[in-house]
Amino acid sequence: MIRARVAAARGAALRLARAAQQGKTGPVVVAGTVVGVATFSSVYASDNVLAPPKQPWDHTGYTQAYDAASVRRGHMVYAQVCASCHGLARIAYRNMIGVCYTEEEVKAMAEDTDVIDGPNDEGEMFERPGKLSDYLPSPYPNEEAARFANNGAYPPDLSLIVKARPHGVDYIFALLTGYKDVPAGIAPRDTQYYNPYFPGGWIGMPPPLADGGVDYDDGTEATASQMAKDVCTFLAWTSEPEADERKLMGIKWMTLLTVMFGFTWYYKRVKWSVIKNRRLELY
Amino acid sequence: MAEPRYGGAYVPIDLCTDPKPDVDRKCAPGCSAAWEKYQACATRIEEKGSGECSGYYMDYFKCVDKCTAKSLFSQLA
Repeated sequence: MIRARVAAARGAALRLARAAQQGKTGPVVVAGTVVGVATFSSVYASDNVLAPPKQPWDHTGYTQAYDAASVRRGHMVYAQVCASCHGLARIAYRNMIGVCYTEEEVKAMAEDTDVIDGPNDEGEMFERPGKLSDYLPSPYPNEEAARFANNGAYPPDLSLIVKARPHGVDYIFALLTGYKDVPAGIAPRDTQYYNPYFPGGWIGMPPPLADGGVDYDDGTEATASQMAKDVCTFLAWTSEPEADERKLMGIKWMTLLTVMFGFTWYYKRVKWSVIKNRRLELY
Repeated sequence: MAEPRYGGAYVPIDLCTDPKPDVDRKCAPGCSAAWEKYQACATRIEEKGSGECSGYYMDYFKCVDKCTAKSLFSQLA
């Protein structure tokens, strides 16, 4: 695949040189574009990967906000399924207040965890129940422990995972719902699973979502696709908690600037009308 | 039956039906050309004794995904 692109780029470069000799400029521009696209379009470490389809998310448009109910269900999926292997170290309990839980609910959740704090007056570390300002606990103390527990695979921290992967939230959804039978000619493996959306095709994570795997408290059916959609929305929020406010601010500023542009345009026309209607006489 | 974790309704497991396999199944006939190419590859490498067909496999699922993505989310909450 990469070799084919290099060959295409080389061919385009030759055409470019020939066109330059003949003094044609139109084809040069076209050829230059071809060279640019062939050279700089993204090539991933493995082209042997299935591109995830674009899904009609509720939150990806310029004027769209996160579906709060889905974020809440997504946190339940994270807490009941993902949290046993994946951390969410950049999100504190307080961040979820007013987004998907009330303060009382988050407080109760935080108090269920034990946090090591200290040192106290005697210089000893001690355990205390979690509080709102604590960050979510990570399942492993360090990367080595995580790899040791997972056959050498490292379950990444999910705080920024939607921003950290090509195709973002579509990729996470496709990955979670995309485990498939091994294609013809490839031998199955013992501790890895075939998932064509994962670069290289073999992923250490076993299929995480099964129908009914999570108890939703709002009566939504916890099917695998539903859980995948919800946890993707939740992870999109953890990656960009500021998105709703940012988009709202964008709408406000664009509206304001449009109105102000109208005023300044009118003001300029008025002020310049005298100058533009002046007759210059040169003797 | 498990108690609901944060209070509220509890949906029994046997009531759940994932819409995705159904949607995929309905989309499959539209991608039969890609599937036949994959099958041809599978028989080809079986005769040859080496090689693999993941490229054709992915082409097929790319086609199915494109069709599935149009209607899957409308069936989810």
